[in-house]
Order: sequence, then structure tokens, then C-alpha cells
Amino acid sequence: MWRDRLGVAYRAALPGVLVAAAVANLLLTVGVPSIAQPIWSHPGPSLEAATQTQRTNDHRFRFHLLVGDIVDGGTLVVGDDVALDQRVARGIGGYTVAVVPGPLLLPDEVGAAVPDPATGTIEVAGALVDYRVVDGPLSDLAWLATHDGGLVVVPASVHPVPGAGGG
Amino acid sequence: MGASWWSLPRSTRSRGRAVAELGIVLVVVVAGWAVVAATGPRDPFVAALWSAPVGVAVHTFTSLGTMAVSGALRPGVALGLTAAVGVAMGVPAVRRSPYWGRSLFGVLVVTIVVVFVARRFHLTRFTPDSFRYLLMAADLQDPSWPAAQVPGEWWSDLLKRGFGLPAVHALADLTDRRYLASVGPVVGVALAGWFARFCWVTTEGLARRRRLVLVAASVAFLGSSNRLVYDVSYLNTHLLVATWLFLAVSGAWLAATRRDPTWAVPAGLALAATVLMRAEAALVIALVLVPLAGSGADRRTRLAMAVPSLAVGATWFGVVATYRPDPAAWPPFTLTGSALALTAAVVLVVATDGEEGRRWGRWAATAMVPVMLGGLAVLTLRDPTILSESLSISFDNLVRGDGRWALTWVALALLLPVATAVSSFAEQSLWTRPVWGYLVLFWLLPYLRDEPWTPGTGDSGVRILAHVVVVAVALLVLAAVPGHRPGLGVGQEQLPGR
Repeated sequence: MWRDRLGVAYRAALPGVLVAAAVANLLLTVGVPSIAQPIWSHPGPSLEAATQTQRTNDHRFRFHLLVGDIVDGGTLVVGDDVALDQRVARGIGGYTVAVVPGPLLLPDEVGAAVPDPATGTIEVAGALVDYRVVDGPLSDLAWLATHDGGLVVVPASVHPVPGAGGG
Repeated sequence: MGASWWSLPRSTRSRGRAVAELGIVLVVVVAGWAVVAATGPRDPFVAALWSAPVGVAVHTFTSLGTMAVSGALRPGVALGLTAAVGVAMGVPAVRRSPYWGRSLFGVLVVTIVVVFVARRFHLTRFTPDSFRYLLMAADLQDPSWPAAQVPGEWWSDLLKRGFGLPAVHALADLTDRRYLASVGPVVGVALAGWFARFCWVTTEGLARRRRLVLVAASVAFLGSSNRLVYDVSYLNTHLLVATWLFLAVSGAWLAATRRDPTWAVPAGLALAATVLMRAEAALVIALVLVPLAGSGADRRTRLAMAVPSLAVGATWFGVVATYRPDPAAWPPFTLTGSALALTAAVVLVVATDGEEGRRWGRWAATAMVPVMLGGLAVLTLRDPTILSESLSISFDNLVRGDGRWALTWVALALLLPVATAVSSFAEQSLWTRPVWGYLVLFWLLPYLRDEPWTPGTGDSGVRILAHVVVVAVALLVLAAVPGHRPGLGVGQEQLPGR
């Protein structure tokens, strides 16, 4: 019967196929840095995620700033879906930080926040607010979030700011 | 007066935190060991290998209890309850024989080593999703929650992501960290151990050398699967769900083939815990329970597999409905659909006990995958774009490498149809139907969420394939053992617990 013959072939071939696939998996993983990186290398030290919490005017919506470990692909996440690249984790600044009074603005509410170096303002959710360029370690961002209100972070590499130092 | 925490040297603080995390993880793991030792098969080795995943499951249940009673997540209270479960069930087991004591000692040693390695080498991986879970862990502990009028989006996100992982990592508040770095690695070691043990025992009919090669090859195949290994240190639900699903399927199968319902007790707990982890969990539970309805499993096995899922689901859905009664805030299929699917599956598996009932159960089990395919066909006719885009994207993700699974799913796509065609072991539908049902569900889920899968590793489709990959590889191994006659089970005389 064809099923019996197929069964015999399957049982004979299975270990070899699994080993071949495993070897190929490892070669692909080792040979492609973008695959290997998340498993076997760690791009930086653990930051032992510190959380800062701030209550806003309506005492309902809290803003947590999580200073976390380096994440997938070398990206660091600060706050609620605001992602910076790993330069921040190394304490290299050059990021545009808009300090927004009031509640945290979610990323989709922020939209394309474009800083204007001439006026020192940034348009966030239709309003112009002052911004500052942070050139320091993450703890500065944590401090800002704690003391100054909601926070929007825009990588300077996306929105270059003269003198910011980021690229 | 002792020195304040922050005046201590940094190295002292770090050691203190490490010890705190170790203590927490040990409580959880020992509780799991105790539950398996007291209710599961009489095999200390199995108690050791299942201890971490079952312990995490037990802790999610105690956490859910604090939510249901107090309206907020109480990690300290939940840990105390978990410890109480461990003491109540573990002490009699240790007294039973020195063999059980050695089992517990082995668990403690391995856990201590893994916890320190996980913390020392900073293995944890995060994505924005990870941070959402941690934010929820903080929110759920807020005394003003859930009376506060939190935004509907928050509820929608919680329902989509589940209560379980925030409940686990909320324990980190007792350690000055915001997450437990060692939970994933501890569970990952347990999963690897149980998979190897299961494959070894169930291939006992093979010649020793051939058996060794097959088990080593299957372990190597899983161990080389990039995304599964990644999930060991990735802060998300995937490794836990993969482990629980494998425990549930293997436990249900062992209970049914060996006529030993003790396997089903911890397996049923593991299956129930998935309710708290994934929006689609109720559907996946149905994929496990419906084939069980058509099996020769006895009444105790059916109850043990089904009732915990219903109880946990009812409690969680009750909490949600109490504090967020507006169904408009629930994402599709998260509550109403899940409750219906879960209830129907549980009723089916319990009601089909007995000869007459099993005929209906077999019919339902046989119809399950074709009905799902029919549903997929209807949905595709209504909106072919979602499927065509999902196909194209999944090809890029799984074949061309964008999803970083390398060749894992290419190999499985070739091997699974052949394995299914040639397999003839007892109660094989308890393996084949969940696997194929899951693979059909994979294409249905984009319709349930109303958008196709997305490119890259951030895609939910790429991630959730980890849930079924271990079960799929175990099926390949079972199908490779010749001479398994239906109705007799596999290698019964050497299965663990005999």
C-alpha cells in the first residue's frame, strides 16, 4: 500500500530532515545578524526598568515612563509606544523633547510632531508647545516626565535640530 | 537603626533584588510542583518538569481571585495564596517517599541556577507590547481601579492581551524591578525537559540508537527555531502559551490512552490558564476539547480537562463584565464570542461521555476542521483581500525569512501532511486535529481582527505560531514510531507514572 511505503520513507527520512533543517536554521541565524542578534547578543546593560508615574488633571489617566531594557532590534522604548534607538540608552542625547502640559498624548494623537527650531516650539495634537533638546542620559527624560508633565519624544535623527548632536 | 535601602552599596541592593526574585519564583515553582505531585501522575520526574508552567498557571488563578474579590490585582496576597497551595499540597507529597523529596530538591537547584543566570546576563527582551503588559500590571494594582473611568481603549487592550502576564510580572513590584527576568527562562527549561522526556518515552518501541537519533534531532530542530528560543527571554505571552498548550495536549492524550485521569488534572489547569493570556484562547481550547469529545477518554478525564477552563473563563469574563459592562468596549470575539466557544466546547466534551455520546463526539471532532475550512471559505468569498494579503505576507514572513523563523515552518509544511497521512497511533486525533485546527485558525484570525497579518517579527501571526510549534513537532515524532495500534496507546508499560 502506498501509505505503508510512505510511512517507511517518512520514518527513514524524518531524523535526517529534522537535523538538516536544524543545521540550516542555525546557519541562517548565525549568517544573518538581524536574525541572530535578538537571541544571542545583548546590545546593552539592563536598566532595571524604573517606572515613574504621574497623575494628570482628571486623576484618571496615568503616565508611566518606563525606562526599560534594550528591546528587539536595539530599540529602546520610553513611555507608551514612544520608541528611541539605542543611542539613548548609551546616554547620547540629541533628541527633541516636547514637554506637554496635561495628560499624556498617545502616539496616534501626537501625529507627526514637527519641531520648529526658529520658535522653539513643536506642534503636538494641533497645539504649539515649547520643546527642549535633551542631551543627556535617560534619567533626564524620566525626570522630565515626572516633573513637567506629559512628554513627546521625537528622535532628532528623524527631525534634525540644529546643534542637537543627533544624526 | 539599619541603613536605608538606598544607602546600601549598589552590589548589596542588586543581591537583595536577586534574592527577592529568586524567592518569588521558588514559591511559584514549588507550588506548581506540589499541585502536580498531589493531583497528577505518580511520577516525581513529571512533577519536576511540569512544576514551573503549572506553578505560573496556579499563580494566575490566585491573582484572578484577588481581582474578583477586591477589584484590584494584589500580587502580595496572590503570592501568599500560591504559597499556601504549595504548602498544603506539597508537604504530604514530600512525606510520601524520599524519591519525591529528591524531585523537589532537583527543582529547587535548577530554578536557582536559571534565576541567577537570567538576571546576571540580562536575557530579557522587550518590544512595545512588553511595555503594555507592564503598564497593565501597574494599572491593575491601582486601588482606584477599576472604578476609575479609564479609557475604553485601555479595556479593549486589556481584553486583547489578557490578565495573565500582567499578573505574573506584577510580582516584580516586590523586587524593585518592573518585570521578572527569570520566569521565561525557568518555563523554557521546563518545556525543553518535558518535550525531550515525552519524545524519549513515547518512542520506546524503536531501537535504542534510532530512538536516540530521532529524539536528538527533534530537540535540535526545536532548539534551532529562532523565534521559539527568542520567546524564552521575550517578555510576552508566547512561551507560556506554547508550554501550556503542549502540556494540555500531551496530558490529555496520556490520560486518554493510558486510562489514567491523573494526567488530565494538571493538563486541564494548564489549558485553563491560556484563557488569561490570549484573546483567541477560547478558540484554541475548543481545538483541544472537541477532539477529546470524540476520544475514549473517561468521564474524570473529560471533567478535569474542561471544567477548569470554564471556571477560569467565567471568573475572568465576570470580572470584565462587572467593571466594564459596555460591550462596545470589547474587541471582537474577546468576550461574547470567547464565552460562547468555551461553553460550547466544555458542554460538548462533558455531554459526550458514554457510548452514545461518543458517537456524537466523534462526529463533532471529525467535522471540526472541515467546518473551520468552510468558515474560512465563506469569509474569503466575502472579502478575499484579507486572505490574499495574509498569504502574501506570511510567505514573506515564513518562507523568505522576514519573520525570522528561518526554515522551521518550511520544514513543518513539508513534514506535517506526511506525518498526518502515515500516523496510526492510538487517539491520534488528539494531536492531529488541534494542530491542523490551529493552522486553519491561523488564517481565520485575520478575519476576526479584521485586518491581514503584517510583515516582520512584530506580526501577531509570526508570534502565535510559536504556540503550536512544539505540539506539531511532537506529532512528527509520534508518527515516526511504527506499529502503534489504535486503541492500545504507545509504550504503555514504560510511560511515566506507570
